[in-house]
Amino acid sequence: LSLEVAKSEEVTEHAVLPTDEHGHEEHLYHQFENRAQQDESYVVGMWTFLVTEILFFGALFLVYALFRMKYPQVYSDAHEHLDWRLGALNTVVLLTSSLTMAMAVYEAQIGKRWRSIGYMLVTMFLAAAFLVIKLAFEWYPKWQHHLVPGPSFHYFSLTPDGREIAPLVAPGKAELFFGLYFTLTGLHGIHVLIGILVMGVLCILLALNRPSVRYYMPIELAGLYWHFVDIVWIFLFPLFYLIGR
Amino acid sequence: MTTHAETHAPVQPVVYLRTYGALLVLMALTVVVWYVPNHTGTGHINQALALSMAMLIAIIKALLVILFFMQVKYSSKLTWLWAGLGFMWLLFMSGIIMDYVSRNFRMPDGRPF
Repeated sequence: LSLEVAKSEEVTEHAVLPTDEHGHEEHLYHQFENRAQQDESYVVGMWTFLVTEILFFGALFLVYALFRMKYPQVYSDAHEHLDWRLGALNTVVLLTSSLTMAMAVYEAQIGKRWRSIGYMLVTMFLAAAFLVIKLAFEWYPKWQHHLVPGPSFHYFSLTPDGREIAPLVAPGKAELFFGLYFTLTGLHGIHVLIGILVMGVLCILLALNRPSVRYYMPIELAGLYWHFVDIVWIFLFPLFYLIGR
Repeated sequence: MTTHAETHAPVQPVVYLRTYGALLVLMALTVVVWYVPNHTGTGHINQALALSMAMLIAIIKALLVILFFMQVKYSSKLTWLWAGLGFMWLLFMSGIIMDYVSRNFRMPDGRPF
């Protein structure tokens, strides 16, 4: 695995710093000593938001852990209803979208506006593909099979070869599993949707060459958000789709 | 990592490509270590061990994303602190949850702990 990165690869080009007509640096606000300090406060500000997001999702992951410790059999039985191949496909889609988002940030950093837009459009397409796979191929069939928690919830067990049999575990406990599944993947899906909207706005602003996006920081911050959404899925995938028998 | 705020040069695409490659390999690995004992009938695996392996791989993947895609490796110490802080709080929160879990603990002879 390529965990180490040669130092020589890190530094070759410099970020493009926009200047106004007098040659002064644009977007360097007076309370900051220099651009580096300003950039750092942007990034730390974004991370502060991400800390709240970690705790937001973290609390739900802990609820998941608590009930998995309590009802391991229920999790094992109910997870048979999830198709690991669709989960794996969506993992690849999201990891790829993280790569294209990182590339969008890179292109913005070296001042290639249209290439940055291009990479962001690819990222948005992949994000939309993720949602389509999730909603059309995973959520909707579960809705049809009455596996959405609520008054019409009706649980049945699945054999390894996919046959429906009488429930092997308490249906009420299985409803809990699906409650967590829909809550966590739903909240994650909302984050994906917000990511698409944020990238869409940035694309429009970049296409119009608005001063607010002439420096790459807004794209960098959107990138941080997008990678965080990827990290949440990195944990959701094995926890819901890859449960042992 | 720098000791104080400095603008770093853009991270090169090759770094992102390698990170992406490593993430895909790790994803395949996490599927394989789950699929082989569960679907090929080649022996059973301890569930706690299987979960630990899956979580270890997920943590390595998350670290790769944080260090390279999110460029924390090339960021200031303050950014490192902030990036670590969320996970510290998560650790504290899981400590609080452990209190609830430990209420069901029993001595080997069945008496309350």
